[in-house]
Amino acid sequence: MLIHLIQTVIVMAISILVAYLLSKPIATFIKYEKDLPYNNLNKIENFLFKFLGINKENSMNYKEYLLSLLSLNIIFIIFDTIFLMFQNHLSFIGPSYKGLSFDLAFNTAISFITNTNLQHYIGETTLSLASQMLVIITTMFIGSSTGLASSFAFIRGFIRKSNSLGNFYVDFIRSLIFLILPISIISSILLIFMGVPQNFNPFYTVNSFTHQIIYSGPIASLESIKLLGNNGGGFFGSNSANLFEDPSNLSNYFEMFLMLVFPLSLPLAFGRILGKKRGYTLLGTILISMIIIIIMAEFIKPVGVISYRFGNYSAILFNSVSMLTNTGAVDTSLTAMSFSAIIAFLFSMFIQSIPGAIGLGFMYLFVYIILTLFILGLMVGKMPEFIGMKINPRDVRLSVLVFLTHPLIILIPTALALTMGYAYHVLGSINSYTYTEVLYEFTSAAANNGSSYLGYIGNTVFFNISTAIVMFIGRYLPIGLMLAISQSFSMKDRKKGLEPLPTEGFLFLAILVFMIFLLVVLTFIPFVIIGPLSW
Amino acid sequence: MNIKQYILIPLAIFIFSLLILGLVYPLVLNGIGLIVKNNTEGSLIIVNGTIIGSYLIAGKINNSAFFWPNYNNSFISGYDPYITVNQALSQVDRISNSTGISKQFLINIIYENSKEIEQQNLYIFSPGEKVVNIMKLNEILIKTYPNIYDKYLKINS
Repeated sequence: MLIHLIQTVIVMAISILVAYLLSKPIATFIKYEKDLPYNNLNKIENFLFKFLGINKENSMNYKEYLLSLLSLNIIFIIFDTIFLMFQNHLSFIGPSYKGLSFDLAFNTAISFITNTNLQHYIGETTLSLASQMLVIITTMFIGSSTGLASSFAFIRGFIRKSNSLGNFYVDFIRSLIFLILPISIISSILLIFMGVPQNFNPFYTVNSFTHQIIYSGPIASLESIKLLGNNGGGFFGSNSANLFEDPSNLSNYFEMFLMLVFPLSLPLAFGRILGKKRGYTLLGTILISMIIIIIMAEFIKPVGVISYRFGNYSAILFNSVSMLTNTGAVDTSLTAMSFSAIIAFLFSMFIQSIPGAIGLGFMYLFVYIILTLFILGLMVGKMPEFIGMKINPRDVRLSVLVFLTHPLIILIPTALALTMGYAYHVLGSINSYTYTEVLYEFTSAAANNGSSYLGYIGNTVFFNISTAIVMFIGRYLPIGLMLAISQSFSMKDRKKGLEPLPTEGFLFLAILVFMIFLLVVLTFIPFVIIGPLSW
Repeated sequence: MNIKQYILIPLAIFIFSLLILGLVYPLVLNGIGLIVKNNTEGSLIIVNGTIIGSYLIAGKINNSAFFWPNYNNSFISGYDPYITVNQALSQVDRISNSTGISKQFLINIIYENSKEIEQQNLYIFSPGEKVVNIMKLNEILIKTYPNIYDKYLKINS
């Protein structure tokens, strides 16, 4: 027991320490929209911007920012879909696998660009190495950099008065080239040292005292961005349960660190710009909420040993961190998890912001802050304010819209799947277990998480198309609404002096944690009662 | 509609990303990985130049002369080669009876391997229970007793 506590404290402490170091460049990229205060970085990025045709001086309003973000992402959706459908003609390395059906290719394209990584296929026997590299690895970088870039624009709205949010392409290239790519390279090297393969041999055939086909490929280069970018899609169908993705308990904890480091760095970067106390309040909110979820996940033990090389505690901790950061990677099958763990995972995905995925999680936290301040304002009869800015009815309406999008895009398709016979078709019967599998599938898609009970049995036209639509709406509608909220704040007057309700410090932290859980429990408890709570 | 902003720039980023992220990035890592070639190739066990398995992926083993994995948490390409020390100890009698190798030797390599795994996990990140890797144990048996094990490897067939 003690050793597990020590392991958990070490991985959290190292994640927070590295997140603190990372928060410095992140704060710089947020504050300096145009020229950076470092000459070397300016030279590199100016060269890239010139080469790519990007004009640093062109600051965008929230509509232009969203449209730029969408145009880049849609190009990848089109390319990925076509490449996967015709991968048999496009395999320049290793053997060629047959092309994917349109609905599976479309689902996979949307899944990876939206940072979800729901996989209705088994990677090692479905995708060629060319697809793993040009589609999967590339799109993982694009999806996560898009998320980080949009959080830069979002935070800007709160720190200075202006009628624009910055340039999407500038934020995107900085996220990718200065943060995500270099850290991915270092992490891949460390993973290789821990035993993760990195080669271009699609498989080895073994005929000795065992007869087996050992699948391999450029796994380390995929694994680092899978976790660091909170993507979660495995090279293998069994994800991190396969030893080539996660060979030892040491690599298991290293992978948890990778999932945590970016999501935890954003509140600290925010604190560097708007006052350390503010940053620590939000970080504290996230950490305390995480502890509640982890205790719930570990509360009821699974039956038997679910993983020998990790032990039950670490295996469940990995899955909890993965759901809390909306990564969606798993190091054991979800079917091995107890019902308290499944409830904890569902709530992580309902909340989406403790700490949530890279960039997006921190943006969702602001929606909770605005709703909390609105409700508190009603209770004490004062106009709600945040950092000296008045929260107007439109901000509250937009926040409510973001909050309600989530249950709507979970509930409607879940009900459709259950009543129209699509769920029965793949699961064989409808009871509280199979209902939970369907609920989990759409929750995971809506939260852009990507973990799934269904896996390759979800490869039907209905589930491919419906989850693709849910992932698309679940990603871009909230981004658009939250950028609109940020723009509204960026145009407000800021007054100095005491806030009517202090939005930093321990009292606010406690209220925020309480309100996050209260709002989410009230919204989602009926879904859970007929699901895992009745097992 | 601003063609440059919404079509040309994203297309330029798209082509740049495919080259840098899809090709250069994995290729560079393949290159760097050559310093630990055994890891990058998949921790293969090679006897007389032939691949007989990987330390990380166990296959189905029927032969009573070898340590067996657990068959409950399988994935497509094989089984988890890790089992607990107690599960390994319970296989000692069977292996000893079938090969004539002394029980003490088998027990020794089990405990040594268990310590090695703790060391690989930097001690502090060890799983709660003591575990061994059966592929590593089988490799030790094959390399220590070639005259017993060569006939099972079918290397030349």
